[in-house]
Amino acid sequence: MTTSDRTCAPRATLGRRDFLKASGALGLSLGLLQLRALVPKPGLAQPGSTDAAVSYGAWEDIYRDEWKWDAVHWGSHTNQCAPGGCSFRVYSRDGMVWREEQAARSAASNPAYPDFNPQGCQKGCGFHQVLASPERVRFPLKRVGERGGGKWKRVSWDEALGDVADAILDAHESQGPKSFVFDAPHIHAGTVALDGAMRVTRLLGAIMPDMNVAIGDDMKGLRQTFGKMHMGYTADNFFDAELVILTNANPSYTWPAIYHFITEARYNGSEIALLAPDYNPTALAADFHLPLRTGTDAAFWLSVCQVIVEEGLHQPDFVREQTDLAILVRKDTGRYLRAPDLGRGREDQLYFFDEGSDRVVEAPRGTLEFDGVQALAGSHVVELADGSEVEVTPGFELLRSKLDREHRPEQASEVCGIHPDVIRDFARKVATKRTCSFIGFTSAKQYHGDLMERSLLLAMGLTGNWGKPGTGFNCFLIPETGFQAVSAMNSPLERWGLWGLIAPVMAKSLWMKMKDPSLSDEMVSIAFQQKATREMGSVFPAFYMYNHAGYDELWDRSEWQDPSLDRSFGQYLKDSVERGYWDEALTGPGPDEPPQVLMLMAHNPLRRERSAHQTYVEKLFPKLKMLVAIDPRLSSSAMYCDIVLPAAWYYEKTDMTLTFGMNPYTCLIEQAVEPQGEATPEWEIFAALLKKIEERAGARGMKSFEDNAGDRQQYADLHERFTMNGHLSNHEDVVREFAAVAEHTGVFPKGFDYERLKQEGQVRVASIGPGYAGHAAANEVDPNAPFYSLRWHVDDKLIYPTYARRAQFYIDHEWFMEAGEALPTHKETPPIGGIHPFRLISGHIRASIHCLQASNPHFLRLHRGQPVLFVNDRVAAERGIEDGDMVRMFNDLDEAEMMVSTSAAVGHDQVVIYMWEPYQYKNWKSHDALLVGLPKAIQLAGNYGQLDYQMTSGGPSPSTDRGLRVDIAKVGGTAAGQHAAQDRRPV
Amino acid sequence: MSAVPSKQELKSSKRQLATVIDLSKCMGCQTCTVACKNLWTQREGTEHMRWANVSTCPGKGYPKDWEQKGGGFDGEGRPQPGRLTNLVDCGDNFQFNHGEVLGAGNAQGKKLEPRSARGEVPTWGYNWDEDQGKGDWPNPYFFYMPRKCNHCSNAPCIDACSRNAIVKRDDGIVVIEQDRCEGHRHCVEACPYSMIYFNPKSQKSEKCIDCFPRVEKGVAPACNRQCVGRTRAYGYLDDPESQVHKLVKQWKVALPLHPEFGTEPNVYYVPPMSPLAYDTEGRLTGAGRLPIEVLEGYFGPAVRGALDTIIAERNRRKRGEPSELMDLLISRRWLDRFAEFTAEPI
Repeated sequence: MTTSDRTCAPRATLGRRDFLKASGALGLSLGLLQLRALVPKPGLAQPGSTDAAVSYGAWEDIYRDEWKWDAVHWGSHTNQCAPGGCSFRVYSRDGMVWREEQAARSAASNPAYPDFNPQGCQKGCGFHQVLASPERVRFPLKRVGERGGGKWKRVSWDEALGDVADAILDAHESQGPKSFVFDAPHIHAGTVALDGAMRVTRLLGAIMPDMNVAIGDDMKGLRQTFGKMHMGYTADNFFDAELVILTNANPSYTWPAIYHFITEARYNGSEIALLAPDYNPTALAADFHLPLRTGTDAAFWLSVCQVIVEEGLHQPDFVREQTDLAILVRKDTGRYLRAPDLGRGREDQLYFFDEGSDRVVEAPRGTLEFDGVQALAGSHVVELADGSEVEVTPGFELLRSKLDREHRPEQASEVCGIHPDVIRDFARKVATKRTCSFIGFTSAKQYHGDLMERSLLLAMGLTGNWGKPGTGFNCFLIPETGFQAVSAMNSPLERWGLWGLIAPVMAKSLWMKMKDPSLSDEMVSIAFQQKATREMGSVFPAFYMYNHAGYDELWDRSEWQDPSLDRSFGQYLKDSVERGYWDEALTGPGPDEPPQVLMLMAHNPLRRERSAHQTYVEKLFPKLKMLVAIDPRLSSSAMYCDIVLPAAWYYEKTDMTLTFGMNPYTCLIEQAVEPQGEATPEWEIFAALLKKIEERAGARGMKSFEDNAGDRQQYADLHERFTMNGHLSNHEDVVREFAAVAEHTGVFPKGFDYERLKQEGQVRVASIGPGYAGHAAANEVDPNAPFYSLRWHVDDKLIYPTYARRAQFYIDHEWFMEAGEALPTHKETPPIGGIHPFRLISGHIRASIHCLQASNPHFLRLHRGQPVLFVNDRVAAERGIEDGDMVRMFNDLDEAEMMVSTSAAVGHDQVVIYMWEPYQYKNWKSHDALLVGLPKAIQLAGNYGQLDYQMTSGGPSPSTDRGLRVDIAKVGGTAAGQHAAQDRRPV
Repeated sequence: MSAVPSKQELKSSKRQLATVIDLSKCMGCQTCTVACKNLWTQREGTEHMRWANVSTCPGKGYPKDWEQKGGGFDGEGRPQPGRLTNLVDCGDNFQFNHGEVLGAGNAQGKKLEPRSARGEVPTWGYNWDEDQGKGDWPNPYFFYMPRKCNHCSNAPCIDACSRNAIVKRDDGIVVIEQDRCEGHRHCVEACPYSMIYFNPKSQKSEKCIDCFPRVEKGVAPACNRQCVGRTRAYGYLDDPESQVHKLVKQWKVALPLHPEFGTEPNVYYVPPMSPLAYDTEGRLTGAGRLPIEVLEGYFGPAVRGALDTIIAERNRRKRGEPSELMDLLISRRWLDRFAEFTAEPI
């Protein structure tokens, strides 16, 4: 055999199968190592016989033909990745989406700032891959055999909807409308679908556990401090900051579309700090990585505050005016000095000591303006109505003394692990630089996340770092792009539908302001939201889950309780109702009214609800007569359903993104292709279901039922009311209505209607809106500048919607006092799930939004294709665990198995796992099984301004899990390693 | 060209397109990988290929251990063969068992899990060592390395091809003529960057084409244009107005990977800054934690000067002074990154 033969002959017969088989084996390299002699020298080519007239380039059409398409549409995704909604172009060929690419037409606020392009990450750029993926549902499915048995039969839409309609009517007959539970649908389904779900819930008098609270995206510290959490900024606000603080976040994974604003601010001279227990990938963009021990953020921030105050770096005028820290507190009770103490006025009339007049004066309730100088120090004796005397002092004095006593950097260092010098330098930066913080939603999933946020906000408040360009913090800044209104409107905009909503608000406003003229429009808007919360059927998840889903058994375990509280979670629940903090509309249905029908839409409770394996599967599901999913994909939860209704996905239906503040653009999603199989857009599923309920109710002779507002509603006109008499019969109708409402209310620029949206694909919002969202953001939108929140409070002296009417750092609610949390303080995460050597850190995976792409082969091929647990490489070695080993992760409650990835980027007492689909784990038991999610009981406190719940915000979330302690052991290994590690790491 | 061209002719071009990738802006998100894959490597036989790819550095890289694979030139400038890459080195093409998990009546008895395209339980695959890095707590370090074909000015693949099937186009893009390639894989061996792959279906070698069908229409390559971190600039290296020229030639802050290979790559990297390191007491030092020796291992000794320049210019911005270099790296107007390649992809 000649060399030449050896080279060429085997190739000709090496087929695909052979390549796959042989590769990895040395076989593939055979012959090629001896090819040196064959390699032609430059200029001495010996091409084959057909080279006489070589035409280079003609073959290139092979690739040019790949780059062709039939149609291009606008696209986006309503995944709640919040910058939310990047505008794409969607390319289709032969009725299939072939690829998508960022439209990249988002201009900068002005040329001094980076623009928003190209905006769209790996999840968006590969989204079309999920349309025809193997977990896609294409036809209505009905389970065969046991629930969760994994066997299906295809049924007709008529049969499937008939079964669901009958189950809902059975539930109405046996238990009443509230036994139909629309379990916290997610925006993943689309803005139109979510709107439809809220409409269905309202029209059927059903209940919907509050999604945002259930998932723990409710920043409680923000709400406790400002009375709201719907605030934020556009991403280019980073560019105005001299110091950007990223905390409880990993935007490298979760917000790729805005990440460049961080790296570009860094080049622009801003300093970037990442506060994270692990060296998470966002650290690459940072100047400082501060590896706080998990759950010790409050200790760190309070020591920052101590340095700021001790060194006199705080801004006293900002503190006096914008915060409650000048308000007087009684030294005997620790409560605010109130008007009734002095024998006059309202309970919420509070007091300053005015240094000008040298006397105690009323703190204005209707404005932050004050004609005088509020004392921040000293104490004064006040005579009470009963003639007794009491010493009072400003909250700032109490704060200063607590900081000096408990939170010096040396003390904090022992807790959080950061050197005191580093803390001091950092504090000086916060105090002297325009500082912008970015708080991720991990904060809202810490048991004491409220204390962490309050402590951070205190540092920002002491230094005047909000309400100005390049400052602030970010949560849900959601412009009112029509979505909010349409879910509640009973008739179209053109038929005065919006007035139907606004008129009651105006009436309520007049009535409320008659009673208390100092109320702001914002406070009225919150009161209205609270009323709407009840009428929409939104119930508070902690009650619902405790009463019906078996969480009582987890949350009342005494050994896992918060040691600073003296009663069980269940006792707090009971007390909170007895004290009138919560009414029946929010706490129901009671334990004796178990749910009958549970509907899931783009909701995967097995992943989302902590320890759902022990609760949803074992306790809740067996109570249900019907469990139904509306989903484009088979999630782990859909796999337990009786019926799965196939939903259309993005690109298969018209939709509009829900805008989040980071990205000021709202995008159109056009229908580019027909849905797969018999998949159907959700709005049309709802319309058909309501039609079916009408039909079946008629056949049963059922006429009417009571809705959540207490009104009688007819079955016979459900479909008409849902569609506004046919005005909203499909997704395009609904998006057109969103656009009309948004334009009418000035959120879209004047004249920017649906037709214009179709031409341009997106629109930059012109206002946050006239309602609650606009008040909460408290600033006008300047189309030529980055947006930031709270300017109306800082510049216009508008009061905050809190009990004290100011950014409130001293919360004298009885339960906060009992728990020692009147002022922000540090507390260790309770021993939920038992005491074990590692602290668990979690969050979103890189290659998926929640689980949407987590089980898709295309995205799975971007990494190990399975859940991995990151463990410090040295710690793993000490325990005899190697990279790629399978381990058991366990606590006192449960265990789960996963592969280990050994990493230098993880601390010695941490393990890191991101969220995955439960069916990617053995026995479908994901790490979520260990989490418990114990809500923080004192957050049930109410009757106190900002502590009272409204939909999306307020009250405790059943989703605390960060920093829980777990242990790991190699699967099949001995327990010896565990004991060694426990000895090594005191807890 | 009509007659059989010389290697020198095949390697020469009128102009040279180049890509600059800023590693301080790269977040390892794989958007470039996804963008490329959707466009070019979904065909049967190409599934294992990632013409655009990202790996965590330090690490084994992509394809696995490519830096130890050999190839390039010998002392006399002749192309030398290295080790061939195989399916698993190239990231595999995991297969999944959705059927038995979702519809076969197995209840919770089966989990969704990957299998190598060879049918085995995988012990390696694409991006397997993601986010592992090196260093000791509290000073771990890593960065991301996005790669694609370097479209080298002195491309050993062209020299190595016994079929004269590899040619540099007039715009500097190096392509493997699919009509002429016979799949001998000398190029796969010769490329020291391991950016050429074998297609077992067509029996030919394939690699990054720098999206020439886009470039011909004035649209930047997908990996560059779709980079959500805005890490990438693109254009002709001899265009004094292009960012690639300014960063490579004028500011000298963008460097080729492994310049010692001698292939004169046309993908250049702005080296990464890194967070300050801690001393043994836990105090911050004044230096970044990425050891300069590590960066030198990738980019050669010029990396010291490049990083010094970047840090000095950033310090100017910190003091409120203007810096043309920082403005370039920020590139407020995103389209400025792509010189004349700013057409929309429609």
